[in-house]
Amino acid sequence: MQESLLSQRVINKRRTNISKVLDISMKYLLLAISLLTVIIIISIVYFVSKNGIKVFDDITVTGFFTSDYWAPDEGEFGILAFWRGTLILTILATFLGSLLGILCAIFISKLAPKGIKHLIKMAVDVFVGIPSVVYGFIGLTVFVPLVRKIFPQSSGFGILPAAVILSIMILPTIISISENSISSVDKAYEEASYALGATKIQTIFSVILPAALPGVISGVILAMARALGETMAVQMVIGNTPQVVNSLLEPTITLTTGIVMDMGSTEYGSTWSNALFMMATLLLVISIILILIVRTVQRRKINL
Amino acid sequence: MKKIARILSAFLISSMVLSTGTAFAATSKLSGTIKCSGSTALMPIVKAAAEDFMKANPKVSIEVAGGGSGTGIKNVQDGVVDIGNSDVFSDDKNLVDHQIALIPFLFIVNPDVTVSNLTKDQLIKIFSGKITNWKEVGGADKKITVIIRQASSGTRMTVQQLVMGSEQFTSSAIVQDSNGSLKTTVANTPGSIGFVDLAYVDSKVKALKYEGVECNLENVKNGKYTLVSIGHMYTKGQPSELVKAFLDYISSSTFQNRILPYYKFVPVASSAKNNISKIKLNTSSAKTANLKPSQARKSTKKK
Repeated sequence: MQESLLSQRVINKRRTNISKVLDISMKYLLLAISLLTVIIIISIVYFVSKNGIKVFDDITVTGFFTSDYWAPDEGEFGILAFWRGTLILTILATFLGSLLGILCAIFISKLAPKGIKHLIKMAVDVFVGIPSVVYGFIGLTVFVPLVRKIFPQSSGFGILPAAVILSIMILPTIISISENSISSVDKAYEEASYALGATKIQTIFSVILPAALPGVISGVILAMARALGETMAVQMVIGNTPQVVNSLLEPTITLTTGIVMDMGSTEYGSTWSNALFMMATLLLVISIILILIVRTVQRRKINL
Repeated sequence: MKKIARILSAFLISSMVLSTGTAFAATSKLSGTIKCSGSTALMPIVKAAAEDFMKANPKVSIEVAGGGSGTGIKNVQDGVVDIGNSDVFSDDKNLVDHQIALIPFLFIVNPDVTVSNLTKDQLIKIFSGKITNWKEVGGADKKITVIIRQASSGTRMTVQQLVMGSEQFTSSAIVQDSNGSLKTTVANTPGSIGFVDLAYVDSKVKALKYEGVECNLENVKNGKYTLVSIGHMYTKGQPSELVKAFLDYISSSTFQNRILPYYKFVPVASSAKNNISKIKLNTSSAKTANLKPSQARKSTKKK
């Protein structure tokens, strides 16, 4: 009797020992995996910027960023047209997408009957799964001819069709994050507002939306990062013309499409290839800044 | 569908030739791997040749990659691949040039364009942006949309040197990064003009005559049609026995005369070859020298 109890204890102790070892090794395994992710990100940034920096061996810093003189076969690399295209396109697409997305999120979370709410949420999920080349194809075959029909003087390629496509592509991000943040606003605020005699619309726009603002802003900024990096769909409708334009209806180019057009056939290590790496570095820096903004906004306390 | 049929028939014929032919009995002991990369224009025929060759020599494996002419030449210089495919000449003395095909290319327009022939002079004016309406070259009153390839494209280098000469492409041209997407864009954009390799032309676009001559295999062979570049396979030094056997197969009359025409290429032995001007990889010196002062912008280069 005594003996068996003792052996049971030994077994138990052995068991706890094994699970302790497992526990600790699991902890370190997970730590290693998480560290690996960090290492991968750091090495991407290092590799891209290391190659990008080399462009300044041949090209002046101000010339690179402020000149519109892009002629790789003449050794001229001014990327003004590229970052200007990216900037205008991203801002326009984010504006259009946010307008639609936030209103849609308000409708889903506060006004829609349950059935419609589920339907819209499902549609948003389907949106997420559509590959960007499909958006691009629709852009090329529907939006570009449509733009050409409305503005017969233009070729149809340009920032306008690209911004429309992009704003649709970033809708799911804005809708789901904003909806989440609007739904999680404390019910007490809403009820207090009603108690004070506010209508539903007044409550939504004066109480709920301000309270949910940090979350909504994070959604918008994440969507902006997505718009910034989108390549395939934009490439198919923007025209890829390295020229600075003052119209939304003239073909131009963005950083991402500029990289993808040339990367396949430039020699690694050439000034041209380094210029593409510098453009990639610029994109990385901008998206890192956007992510930092999201972090700061999210940490902000809601003060009503 | 047409293309699939074409490829299928090419395979059928080639496999028939291989099963009956005796030319490959001697080489069937070959084994090893051949790597090639480079020109996408040449890829269809290099791939077809590789399939045939691997069927005849089961122990041989051939990898065919794209990347563009510049990449092909660079890779073979670095010894990354055994063969670098290119539709432009390389000046590198270490590379041995094996010319395998003539590549016809032509100007295409959207089917709504009524013009069916353009001269070199008209093309220069259109692609440099001096002519912007079809009525100036005998067509309807319609805006011309110019569509070109990206700067690293071998086809664009060919057009630059054979047609444009010292003139620059207009900076407002729409740019596409492959023969296929350029063709699709021309097919979908009213009043547009572009250029592709003959293999990519289909019924969705209208092929233009150049200086009154239609682009077809016959006119390339007899030398009437002059917009032609040469397909090269470069090796670093003399090729190894295995690589040589593969190149020999591509130069064989079977492949040259029976397979190439299926892919709309012309055998390299055609007498027309002698009249084709050399298309060089690097075009920078000629262009910079001809840049007009009015067009000159502030350079981004370091002194």
